[in-house]
Amino acid sequence: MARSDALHDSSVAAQRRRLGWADNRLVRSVAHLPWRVRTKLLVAFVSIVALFVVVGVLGLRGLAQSDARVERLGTLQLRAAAYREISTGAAQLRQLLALRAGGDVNAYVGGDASTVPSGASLTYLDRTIATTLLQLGPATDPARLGFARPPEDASTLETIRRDYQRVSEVMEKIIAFDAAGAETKGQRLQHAEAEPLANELGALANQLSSATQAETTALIAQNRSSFTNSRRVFIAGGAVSIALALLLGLVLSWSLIGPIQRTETRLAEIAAGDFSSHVDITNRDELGVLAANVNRMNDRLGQLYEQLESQAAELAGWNRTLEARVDEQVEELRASRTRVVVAADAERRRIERDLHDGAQQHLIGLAIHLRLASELASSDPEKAKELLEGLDDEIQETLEQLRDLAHGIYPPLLQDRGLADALAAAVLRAPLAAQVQANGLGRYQPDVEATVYFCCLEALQNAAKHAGDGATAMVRVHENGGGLLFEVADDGSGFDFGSERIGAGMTNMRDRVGALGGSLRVESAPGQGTTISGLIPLEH
Amino acid sequence: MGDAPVRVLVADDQLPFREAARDVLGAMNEFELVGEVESGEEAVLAASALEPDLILMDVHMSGIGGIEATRRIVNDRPEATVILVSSYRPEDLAAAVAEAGALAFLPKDQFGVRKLSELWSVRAEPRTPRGKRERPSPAD
Repeated sequence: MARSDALHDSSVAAQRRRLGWADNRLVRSVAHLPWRVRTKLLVAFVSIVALFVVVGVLGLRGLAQSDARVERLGTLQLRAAAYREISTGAAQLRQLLALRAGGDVNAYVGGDASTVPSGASLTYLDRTIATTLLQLGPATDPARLGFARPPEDASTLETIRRDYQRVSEVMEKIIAFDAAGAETKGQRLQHAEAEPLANELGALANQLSSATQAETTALIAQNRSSFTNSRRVFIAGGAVSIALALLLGLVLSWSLIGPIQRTETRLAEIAAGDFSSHVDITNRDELGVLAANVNRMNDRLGQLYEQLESQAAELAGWNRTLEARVDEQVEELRASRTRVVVAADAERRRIERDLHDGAQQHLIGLAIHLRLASELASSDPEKAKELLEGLDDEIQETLEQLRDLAHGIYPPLLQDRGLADALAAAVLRAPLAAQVQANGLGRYQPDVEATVYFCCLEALQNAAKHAGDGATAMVRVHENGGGLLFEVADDGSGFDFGSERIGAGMTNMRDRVGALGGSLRVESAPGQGTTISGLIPLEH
Repeated sequence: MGDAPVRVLVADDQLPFREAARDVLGAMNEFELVGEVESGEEAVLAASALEPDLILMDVHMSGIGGIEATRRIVNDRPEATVILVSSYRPEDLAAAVAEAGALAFLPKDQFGVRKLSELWSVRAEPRTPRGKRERPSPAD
């Protein structure tokens, strides 16, 4: 017992170590959720997938933003190029106008400087200015910009267009003046209108170009920072998802493994016959149901085991009682067998005694007398004759004794005619007055007949001894159920059965009846006579 | 033989033998029945009171029995002669029969005039060591 306890303790400790994780509060609370295992697994899986989807959506959104920014950058570059073209055209126009007004023409044509162009050179300049204006025309045309005008630039572009158209008109007039030889008028018109317009146009174009350049730079910076942020979010989201997946897997699996191991340990204890405790499982899922069923099974088995034990104890008790009874009966059987053997020996001694003291002595006397007669035959014939005649009585007496003895050993009537006749003859020789009622009797096994006969004789002897003078007896024998019933009743003084010793005769009767599986009863009380009755079962 | 008849005491609890012995002794002049007793104790008393010459003693009697009675009588009166008798065969009797000091053992059925005379004549002869003379063959 102590050894198995120690084993139990060590296995419990090992189980505690094993189940360290299963006792974690998070694991226990997951186990305590009132969901089925399948639902828990599904929820965990869906959570992980949802997290990954969120991470993916964040990534896609970052990509889309990046794409939008790239497109916008392309547009900005187009705008920057267009504005630069306008700006370049405007700058060229201002330089040409400056030349025309007496500026440094070499800067433009590469010839020697002459203060004021005239004649052919003027015409040449005018043509160059016209060509420049022609090139500038499409650049300021909204329909040919190549991109939609941004609203913030729309008014400026309108102004630029308007300025261009007015410059073109002014220049047409100036060229017309030049062609008509009125250069002075042309010069005035140039100073008064063309140059301010060209200046404004150039300034506006520069303004637009600078703004666009600044916007491009800002956009590139924004793109760089946005990429960094997206990368951070993506990495963090992925890491959190992986960590959550691992945590959920661990928690869920321990919330299942712990109860299974506890149940398994408990089942092993039950198998070893220990019904003293329950599985402690807080799960509200299938494992909780399993544990509840194991506990119910444990209780039921425990009850059955207790019932079995008590029944076994009861059986053992019965067994002991039966054994004691059997021992008692065996002892009684042994004692009665011994008594039967002793009685048989005593009977043989009695017969030997009877033969020795009776017939044998008479025969010896006869032998001596015969010899004496023969010895006297010659010397005293008279005496011899007298002796021989006297022997007849002795011979008769001897015969009678032998007959009685043989009768006592087994009555010839009993063997030849059965119980009724034998008993009828026996009561004639009985030591007290007696009658026999024995009607409807058949023949029975010799041991049954002998037992009934000798018991009746013994009972008659008993009655003669105890009933007193003048008492009579009645012998009744008949079949009763499956047995042969005999009864010897006297009307004598009776005796207090409890106060007198049961005689050897009574014991002998009891043993003889008992040997045939029957029973003997003695009923007697002072003044009320005695009835000895016995029942012997008959085998069919 | 002698002048005075031999005085005989019969000790047996069986009447038929006593009657037969009475008749046999009555038929013999040289023997005289002086008493009949039925036990060993009575035989011892009668042997000293009646002073018989011969005692016919049954082996089996109640009380001390014939063997012990023979011992005592032979011890008290060495001149008395005891013949043990019995209805049993000699081989059914104890060895003590031969050592009790009796003259002889005689089966009862062989008792008679001639046997008694023979045994008494043996007694008259010079004594031989005990044990040799005591048991004549039943065939005699």
